[in-house]
Amino acid sequence: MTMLATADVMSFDPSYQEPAIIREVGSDSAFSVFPAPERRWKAVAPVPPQGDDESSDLSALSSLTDFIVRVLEPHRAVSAELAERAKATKAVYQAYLARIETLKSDASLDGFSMNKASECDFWSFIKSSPYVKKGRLVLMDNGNLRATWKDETGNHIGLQFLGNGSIQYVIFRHRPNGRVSRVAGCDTLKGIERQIQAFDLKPLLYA
Amino acid sequence: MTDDPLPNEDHIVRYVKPSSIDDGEVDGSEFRLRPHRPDETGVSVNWLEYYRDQDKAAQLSEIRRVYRLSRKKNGRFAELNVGAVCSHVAAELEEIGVMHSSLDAKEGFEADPSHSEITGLPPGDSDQAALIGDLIAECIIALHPAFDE
Repeated sequence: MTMLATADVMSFDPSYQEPAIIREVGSDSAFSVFPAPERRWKAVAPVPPQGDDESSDLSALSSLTDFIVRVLEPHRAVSAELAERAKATKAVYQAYLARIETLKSDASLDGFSMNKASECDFWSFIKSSPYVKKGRLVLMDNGNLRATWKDETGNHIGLQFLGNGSIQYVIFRHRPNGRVSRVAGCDTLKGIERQIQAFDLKPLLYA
Repeated sequence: MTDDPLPNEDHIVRYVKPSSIDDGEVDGSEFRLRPHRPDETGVSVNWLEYYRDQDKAAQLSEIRRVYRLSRKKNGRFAELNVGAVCSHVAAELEEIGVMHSSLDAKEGFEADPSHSEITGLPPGDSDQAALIGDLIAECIIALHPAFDE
């Protein structure tokens, strides 16, 4: 909080006086990420070009601007990126909700129902990571949900949510040498995450 | 009924229900044996070139006409090439084949002479069946409407 407060009070105002707390803490304090502006500028600002007094003043101002942008903008950039990711995740969840409702409706017309435990396992998996990408979702004849993700190179992950905390997986991994690794099995949710990591397929599933 | 393998250059179609299709892609689970039907010897398909003297639209129309199971408007007939299926899957399952298996008329249904089966498949609830199903689904080359338009 002290760091942010310090950053907020930095300004272009030549008559700026740093808060007393900063002066008291001193340059060796753990909170002096933004130490006394005057001293910091001398430490990191580029050497201004030689010239008259007015041009030197403008160069110093530009340097302060650069310093503030480098310090402040990364925070804004991170916040903006997090907001975009949260929006994308919400859109994925809403798409899945709509798809599941459609599948339930189709199932009831065909005289069977979605396995509730499978649906719970599906959501547990989707919510285990905040940045899971939207995959394709189908309802199998046994009432279980199955999700698949594919990319343009033929890499493929298929997950059937069995409803007992287990997931049946199918993985196709295309290697740079032209070979394809194909595996299938059953594992827990955590085990599936390890499988995906082992096959270096996290980008297929996670943004 | 005959058990002759279909020529590699020929094509088959399989009806897939709407809940097995998402974003225009058919899920591989449509190509597994049904665990609750141990008497099944293969996954049912229809042989397009059985009606060799007709164009594809007419072949599909004839298959739709005698198709016995219920279909939904949003379902599709998925088309695959016989040779592509066998060669693509052979790396994982040598026994796979596509065999002609025509159905005689019975109980209010006309004969279905183009009926065939994808044979040699593992038990439907096995992990290998899941893998083979996804491999077969990779061979789909077109989706056709469930009903004549």
